[in-house]
Amino acid sequence: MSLDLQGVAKSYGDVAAVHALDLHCPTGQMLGLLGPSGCGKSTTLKMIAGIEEVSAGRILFSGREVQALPPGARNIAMVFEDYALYAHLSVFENIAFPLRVRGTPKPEVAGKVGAILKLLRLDGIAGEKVRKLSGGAQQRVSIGRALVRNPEVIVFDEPLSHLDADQKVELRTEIKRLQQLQGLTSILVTHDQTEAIAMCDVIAVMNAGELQQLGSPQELYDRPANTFVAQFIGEPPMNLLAAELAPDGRLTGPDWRLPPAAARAGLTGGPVTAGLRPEALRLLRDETGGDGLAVLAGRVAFREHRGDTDILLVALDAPGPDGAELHVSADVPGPSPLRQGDRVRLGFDGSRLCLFDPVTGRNLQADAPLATEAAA
Amino acid sequence: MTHEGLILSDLARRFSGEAGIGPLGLDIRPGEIVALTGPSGTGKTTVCRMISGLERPDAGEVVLGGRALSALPVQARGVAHMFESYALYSHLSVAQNVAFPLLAPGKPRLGRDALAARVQELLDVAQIGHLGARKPGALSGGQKQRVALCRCLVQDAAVFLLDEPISHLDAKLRNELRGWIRRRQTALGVPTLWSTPDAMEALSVADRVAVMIDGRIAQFAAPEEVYFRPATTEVARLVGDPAMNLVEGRLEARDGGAPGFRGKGIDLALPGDLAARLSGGPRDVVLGLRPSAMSPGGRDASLKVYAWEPFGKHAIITAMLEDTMLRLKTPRLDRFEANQEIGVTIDPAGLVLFDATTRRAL
Repeated sequence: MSLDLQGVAKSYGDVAAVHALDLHCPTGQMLGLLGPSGCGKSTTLKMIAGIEEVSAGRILFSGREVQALPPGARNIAMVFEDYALYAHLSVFENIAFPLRVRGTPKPEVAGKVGAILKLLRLDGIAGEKVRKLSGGAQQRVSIGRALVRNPEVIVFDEPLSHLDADQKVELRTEIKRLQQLQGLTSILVTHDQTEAIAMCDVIAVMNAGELQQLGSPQELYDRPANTFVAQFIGEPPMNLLAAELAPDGRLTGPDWRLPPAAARAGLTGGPVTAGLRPEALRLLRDETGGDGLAVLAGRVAFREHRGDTDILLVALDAPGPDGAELHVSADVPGPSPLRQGDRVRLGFDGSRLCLFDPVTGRNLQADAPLATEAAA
Repeated sequence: MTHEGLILSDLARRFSGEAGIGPLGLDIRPGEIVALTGPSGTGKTTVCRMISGLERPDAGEVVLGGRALSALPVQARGVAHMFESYALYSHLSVAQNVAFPLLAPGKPRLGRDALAARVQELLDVAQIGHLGARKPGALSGGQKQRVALCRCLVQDAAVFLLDEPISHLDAKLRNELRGWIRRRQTALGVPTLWSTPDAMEALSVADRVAVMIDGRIAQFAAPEEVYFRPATTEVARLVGDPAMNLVEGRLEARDGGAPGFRGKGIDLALPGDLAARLSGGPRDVVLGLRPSAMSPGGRDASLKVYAWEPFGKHAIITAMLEDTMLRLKTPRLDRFEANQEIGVTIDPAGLVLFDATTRRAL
């Protein structure tokens, strides 16, 4: 089943929670609703599920309008962040529950639940009470309960947020694998960009009730539509630097420059915001810059360990346009010997640079090829 | 150990019918941030509650600035405690909630403007400056968490306890607040305990990391030490993004006599320094393999791909080594399909070995 939202809006009195939203999720894919708290993603989810009424617009399941239907008539299954299981019932009975309330004959229940148990690798613990299980196992039971009645859409509402890190990594792989194997049309609501990137085929990034970008995880990462998406996707966020673009593609910052490049030629010259991923900055060991390499000089203001990488927050020598100190984050191999106060030189070439309009924040190269396409 | 910071000595708490907590020892120097990390249910919150006096330890002592705290009531301890459950006053506004600790009896009174300015400054940093007049009921979970954080940080305290201060925030905000809180607490020169189930968050924020497992401290060391030399398999399973892979096997002499690791589907020479430390007869061991220590292409082991997940800057391959599930972190541009067979090269510099019985690092 495919899912479409056409001009869907929600307001509470004078407060607009969601502005005219257009979304499309193809059959069998997982759509992510991602954004900071208060962005409207949960409201959007509730409208899809029928828990909240739409103020305007249409919601279509495979082309059929459903926005006027009650939740029960939409055939949506939900998986919640707190599992919402029946603690006193066994794994088997929790999964069987939706079938029992529909009066499904016993042999059919046994067959369907058995298949689900096997699929989710829960067959070894079918008789256990769910309260004895780990959070990850409980969430698998709750997914099983959602799957057993063949819903048209399955909605995951922050499904991993209460799990420990190891179970999070394990379950997000499992959910993705299951979703692909079963061809489930599904929706994931999350504030965690890592989860959305790991699991979704297409992601809607929202902010303040408005859609910022709808695209594949790779599009969002490599070609963010605007500076909001650029800084919301990726950890640490993309660095944004003020620069001047010449008509031939030459790019100049306060104390750095990049030579003309084909990718930048043809754009209107003028002030721009250059977006640079922290991993695109390389520590330069010596004084050389090299051809086509721009260099940012500064001091380490702060260093974070991330195991095999270190995140350096570097205070740049060259101040910003208003005289304020500027910082960039660099993601470098760890553990680095650098300490707070150490002088560093960071080099970058223009190959993975994004350019944004400094006023509107919009990406100036919305049609540029992605990194993988360029490499292929 | 003596210093003017916070010292927990042989602190223990017993619960009827369950394994208790401790005895555990931990110290935080003035201006130091110690992260307490471990799986949920391991007792991190109970440790915080024993420090602030909300729970009484069955044994041991909490010492702050050279003074034992156990005889002191909660309000006299000088502990600023941010609760994992937020514990906001629902009838007060956001700004009133944050100001609340400063209005407690016995605190020096701030002028009205000074109070408002101090509250607003914190709310602004936490990016909830526009929500000061709202009631907690009208906030999202992430916003409530920031109110609780502000209400803790606003205090003039002798020690700060942050119980999961940023876990419900988005990555950008987490990243900003992590650095900001760290710089602020270091400059204040008081001890800070930062509790989090996220071991990578613990590594990033802390000067030292205490890994707590089943109510005890399994390792208390600098972040690099915890990451590169986890003390036990349990620590190894928690640390990393994704965490270290563990493969059961045996230490045996290879051709030439030096010890090597042999497990299901894997037969590996050990680097010289590790081999030199492990002389002696064959024994059962667990091999720790960091996800970034394995790269596709090579003949050190043969894996079958289970799932491939591309991320922004890298990809994670989940793959089976016989019946052991492993995770590899690779550059994103290589694409892999489920059930594809791949050979991998293992970087010997990234290996850690554990005793199979004690589960401790060798």
